[in-house]
Amino acid sequence: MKIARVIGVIRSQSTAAPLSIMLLGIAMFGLARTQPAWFDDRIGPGLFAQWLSASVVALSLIWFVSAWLEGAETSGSDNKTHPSAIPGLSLLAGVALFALSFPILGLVASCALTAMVVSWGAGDRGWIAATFAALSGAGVALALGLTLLPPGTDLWPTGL
Amino acid sequence: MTAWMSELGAILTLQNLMLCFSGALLGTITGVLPGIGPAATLALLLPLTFTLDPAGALIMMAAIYYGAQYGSSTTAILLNLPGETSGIVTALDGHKLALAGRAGPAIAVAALASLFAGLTCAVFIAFAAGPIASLSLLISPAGLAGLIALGLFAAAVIAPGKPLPAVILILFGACLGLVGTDSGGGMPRFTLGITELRDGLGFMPIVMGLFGIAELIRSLETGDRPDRIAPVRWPWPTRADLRASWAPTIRGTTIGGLLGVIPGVSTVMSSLAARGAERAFATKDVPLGEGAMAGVAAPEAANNASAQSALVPLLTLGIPGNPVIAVLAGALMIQGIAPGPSFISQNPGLFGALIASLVVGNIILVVLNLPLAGIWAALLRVPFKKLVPLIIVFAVIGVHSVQNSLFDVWLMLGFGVFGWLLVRLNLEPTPIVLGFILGPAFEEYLRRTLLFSRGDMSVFLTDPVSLVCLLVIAIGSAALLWRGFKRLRTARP
Repeated sequence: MKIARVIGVIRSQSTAAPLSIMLLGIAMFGLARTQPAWFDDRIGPGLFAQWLSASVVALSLIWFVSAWLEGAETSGSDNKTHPSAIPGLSLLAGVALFALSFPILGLVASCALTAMVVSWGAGDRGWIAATFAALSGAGVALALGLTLLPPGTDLWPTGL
Repeated sequence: MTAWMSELGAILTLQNLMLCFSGALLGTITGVLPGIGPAATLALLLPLTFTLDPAGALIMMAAIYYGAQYGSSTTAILLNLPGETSGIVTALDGHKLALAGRAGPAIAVAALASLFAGLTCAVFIAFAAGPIASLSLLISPAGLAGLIALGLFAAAVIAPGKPLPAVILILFGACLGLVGTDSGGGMPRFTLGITELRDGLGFMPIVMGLFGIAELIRSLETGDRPDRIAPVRWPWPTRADLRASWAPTIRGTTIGGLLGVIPGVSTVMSSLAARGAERAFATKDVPLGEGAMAGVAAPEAANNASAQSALVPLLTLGIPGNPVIAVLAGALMIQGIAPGPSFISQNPGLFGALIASLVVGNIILVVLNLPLAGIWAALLRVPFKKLVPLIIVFAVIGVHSVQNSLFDVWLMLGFGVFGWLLVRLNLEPTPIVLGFILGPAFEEYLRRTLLFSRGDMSVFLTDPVSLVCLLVIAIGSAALLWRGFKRLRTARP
């Protein structure tokens, strides 16, 4: 029963944040330790990096403990409902799609694809909306590509 | 004064006026859209300035900045939904006026109050920034390191939400600022063996990921807008409106101008303070909260004054006091300009360009806001989901175009995910940017101090400026710890 409660507190939103930042801090501290802190009497690249990452870890620990104590007081009241993850995931997928497709499809087509995916995730579903988004994305990319971007930018698919 | 006027004349070329106009227009358009704050607006429009010379870029960026501030008040008045947080205060009375069919005069009073505050602060910056910068040149590296630490501490403490997470995120941001080749010894640091990271993390991917992507996701997840938008009729205010708003405008400008200089004070805090002050003054107009013009004029003047006077610590000490100014500082750095104590003396032309932009841009914004208020209202009727794909396309092209690097797009994606997680954990990503900008500067001053003192740390206690800063930080930390301890004790039976 006690273990389940401890796991519940760790999984709660209030403790997840300090815990994840503490882990990041530990990773950074590990990397900073590989750098020398001092060269004779002048500071090396590791000194400030070690101070900063150690402070991140120490302060996150304080935050974690206080969040834990507050979490234990309110035990289980941290049950907020989150909105759907679909808009966020599709937006991120759109950006990833751009990075993956750009070397093959060029700027205009990859922007059209990105706009289509993001538009779907934003809740604008259906073929007409998708076509409209793709055309607008391609139009913006073409306009920017022909006016503001350097002449060497690949606007069209490889080989065209 | 004559020299300054001739500088102003030299800067006001047709090209610069066009840049100022387009910056103000673009800033207003994006500022009008709820959910995209000025930091995100500036980040999203940053790529437009890359091809410009530094003066043109600075003029355009400044215009985008206060254009976004202006735009947010229109949204607040029409929708009761601020484009930027400080609009919440304007909305309290402004939306009541809109519902009473007086949206036009409310938007006009907001614009005129902002114009007065903007022009007053431009004069204040023109006269005060130079002497303050000259004084700050006398401060030792130890003192400057102390001031940066104090600025960051103030930003973390005064920011909305809990101060401890903000401090941690600032420190984490400073760690990110150290990624790349160490300027002292030339050794790679935090690069994980990735060649692209040897030059450090790009500012654009970070800011676009944390502000652009994460903000858009937040808007999509939470932002629904009311169906009914109050109609905007003839925008010119009556004599009674002007009589009711001139004194609050002056008071708001004073409060905002003074508070804005303090690092960490946000525009919303200045607006709240100005509205709070209005309660102390008797008015012939309707009471505050029931559609009073004073409730529009005072917060709008304070918000604009605060936004502009926040430039003072950046230009004189190199300390960006809030996230929007941090983005502006990053944008200057991309242009190869380092804001700090010697900025004004080394770049008098750029400083003149900034002042010119503040003066001319504020006038342009009134011209844009009064006759075009109806168009802004129409823009609000475009569904947000139709705009998001275009904003994302613009963001990816912008990030990619900086160095023609897909690695930066992946980096933006990584920071987008990180920013989204922070938002989900109820944390603000903005302190990371402050830390990212100021971390390397702090290290540089630390390095210089310890080089002169041959590694003796006690120099931070013997330097008067550094000592005062450390004492203020220590007292502030003790007070925060005491408050937290008391809260925990009262929470337990």
